[in-house]
Amino acid sequence: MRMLPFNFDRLDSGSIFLSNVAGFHSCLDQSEFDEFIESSATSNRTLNDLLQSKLFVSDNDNLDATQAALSSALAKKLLGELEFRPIFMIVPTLRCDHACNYCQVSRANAKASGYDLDPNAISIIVSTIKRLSPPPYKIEIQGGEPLLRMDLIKAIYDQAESQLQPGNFELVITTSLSLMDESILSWARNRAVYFSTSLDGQQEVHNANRILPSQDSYERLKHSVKRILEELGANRIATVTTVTRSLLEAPESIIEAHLELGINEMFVRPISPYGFANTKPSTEYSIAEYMTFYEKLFNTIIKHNQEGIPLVESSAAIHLKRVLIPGYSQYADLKSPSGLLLNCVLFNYDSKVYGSDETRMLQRVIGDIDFSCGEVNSLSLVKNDLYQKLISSSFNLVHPGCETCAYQPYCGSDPCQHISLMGEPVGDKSLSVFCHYHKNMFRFLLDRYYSHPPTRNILKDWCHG
Amino acid sequence: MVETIRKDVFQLPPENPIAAGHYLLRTTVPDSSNHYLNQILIKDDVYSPKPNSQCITGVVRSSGLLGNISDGDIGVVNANGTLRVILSRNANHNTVLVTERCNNRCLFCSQPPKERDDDHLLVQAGLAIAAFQSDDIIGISGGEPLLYREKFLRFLDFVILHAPSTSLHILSNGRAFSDTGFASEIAKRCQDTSITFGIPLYSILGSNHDRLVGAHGAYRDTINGLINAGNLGIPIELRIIPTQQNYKDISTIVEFSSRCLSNIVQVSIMNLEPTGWAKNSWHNLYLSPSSYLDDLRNGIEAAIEASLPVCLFNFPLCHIPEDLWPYAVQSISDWKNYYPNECSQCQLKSKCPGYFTSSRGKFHHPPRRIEQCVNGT
Repeated sequence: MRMLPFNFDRLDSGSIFLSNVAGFHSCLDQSEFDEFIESSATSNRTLNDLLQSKLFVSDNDNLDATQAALSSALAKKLLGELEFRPIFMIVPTLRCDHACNYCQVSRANAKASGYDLDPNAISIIVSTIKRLSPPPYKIEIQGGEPLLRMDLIKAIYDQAESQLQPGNFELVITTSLSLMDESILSWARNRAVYFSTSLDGQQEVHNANRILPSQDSYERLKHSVKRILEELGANRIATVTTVTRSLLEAPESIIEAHLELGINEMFVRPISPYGFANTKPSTEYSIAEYMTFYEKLFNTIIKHNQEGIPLVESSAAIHLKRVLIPGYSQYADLKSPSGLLLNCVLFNYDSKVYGSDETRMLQRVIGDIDFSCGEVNSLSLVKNDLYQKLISSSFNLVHPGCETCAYQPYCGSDPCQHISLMGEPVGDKSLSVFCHYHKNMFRFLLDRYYSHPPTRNILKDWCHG
Repeated sequence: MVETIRKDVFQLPPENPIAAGHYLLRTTVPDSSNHYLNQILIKDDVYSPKPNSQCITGVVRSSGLLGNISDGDIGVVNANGTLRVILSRNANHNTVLVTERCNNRCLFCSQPPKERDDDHLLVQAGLAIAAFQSDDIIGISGGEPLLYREKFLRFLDFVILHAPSTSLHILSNGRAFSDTGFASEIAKRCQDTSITFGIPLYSILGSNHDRLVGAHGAYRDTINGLINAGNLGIPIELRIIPTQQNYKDISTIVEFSSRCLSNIVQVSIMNLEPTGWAKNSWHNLYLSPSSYLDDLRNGIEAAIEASLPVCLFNFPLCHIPEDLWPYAVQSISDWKNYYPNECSQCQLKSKCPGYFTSSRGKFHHPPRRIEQCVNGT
């Protein structure tokens, strides 16, 4: 028997998690692992067969076929992740009624001028979307607070309906919902319109983060969510929770907030470490602190599930899908090469086009480099040098620190975050927040998945639901 | 004899004998001769004079045959005076055998191979397909059709040119695709017409696959072949036959194909057919699905996870639990398909694949009580 290359990591339970470039994984206990390392076989025949079937080891007769299968799998994986399958983002305005102190999106004052999309650009934006990829299309309206320009959102929808055809697209509006009203609801009713909103915890935490002059961001959100659920249904609203320091101490607040609003699915993530988001030291925390928080949150969510309340945490589902589901690469942050441009094309209010939400923000911080791929009228995605460089430097397979990591086949790469924090796209993984966060999430979730069968069944439902 | 869904072999009446060979069967007198095959007219038993037509080479008077064919079907007349309908417009599947030679010796081969040269089968198959002019799928089976290599490419060229609306489903062990040059030639032809290859993979443990297919080195060739074929864009239906030797490997075969192989258009998990060599070692091979349900479910789950369409072939619905019914398809060709008497009252009969006619005696696993979840009971 011949052992083939693999990476491994020790989980909290003591099990060893193995993975190879084909994306196969297996979990061994310490003694099985020792036997395997020692003699390319364990004393458990069924396990040996499994390790051979997953290409961790090969019989000598079929070594070339096994190597060919490993290469073929790697090629298939890379080709899949190189596919151009973008979400199209449009920023109708950078103006916002909120003044959140950790705003990830550079914002402009609600009354400022010069931060809105030219209505005449909408037709060409939609025709560019049509030219760039086949249906179905997902169009995400970003901000600022896009509901400040409901007229532009309606114009985008109408253009999409005439150019892309109804049924071929959906529109997701990313909004605080503070400006939601009955007319927007009735407009959305018979249209493919979805809402995505930030929910940072219950009243106190949410209002402390999401700052409105009237100090009632949570109350407005709660009312709007209730109306969406009543009028449009649960599938029309999704939440994103950004964990700030104040939430770190109160994980149950997130769960309570979702239960209070009648939403079962949450998507919880740490605050973006980008330079521009952490302007105040009070918002900073380490990934170790985050994981302590996350573990408490996770345990409580699992407990609710066991008590019959089917809560879902989507970050966990996304990490596990990357491991368990071959070919899953729909999440732009967890793929290698990075999802930059390949998974996102953003049309900014100023007609510039970017390859992700983060690049347009980087642009505001680092003014002397052009992070756009041109203006919508003179767009050139393929010939853009900067994006070519960024994408080609985002293959984690060859990154120092990733090449020996057991989670490398499932993880991703974030050149923009590394530029923001370290000034270059690859990043020193020993210092990288991206690395710390995802590595710890994989390690934590896989440990729970393999060491606790009741949790595993719940996690399986999350992945397949 | 049990009653098959479609009768395909007929004894011809002794008067006016027809010479052995392939024929286009006509129920009405044709206006013109056929480019590919001679035509014979099929009439009912009532005597009527032979029509005065240059376009037909003979008349068969047989109500039985007439009642079972459609105008334009293809039949083969043997020296012993029987006619077998090989391509039928009434059939649920049409399959043409192009060779009996093979480089595998599968323990459960339903069509045990012969060594003799049988190139004529390939030529006749081409003519029959061209004369049949179907816009449906025709199955090509063997033996191992790709052993013909260059001649098989010519056969494909002939079909593409003369029966352009016909799609082909070719059963192969995939070994020939380990030759990248040959695989590329086949891939080129897949651009011109709809061709799918049905290729079996019985285990990711090389020695286990080789043992089941009775050929050392077959696994290497088939794996390299599957990789090449998939990467070149040849559509592949991956076939798994669970036996006592490999039922545990179902889900690893599926995960392997989803991670390592490209262009897998379907995974078919096939219940063993008690025909040919399978009968010799039936008791060492056959396993009732009820004894490997978890393996079956895991395999189906792995396919669904990877977005691979998955089907169960040849499983009577009463042999599998209700949650697997959605995957079961009516896969058995009608000329070798039957339903035992017990099935006559079954409400699921119209959806059930039923049995192979070879499922008799000690090879037969009778219909069972259906375990169906009924609300409130």
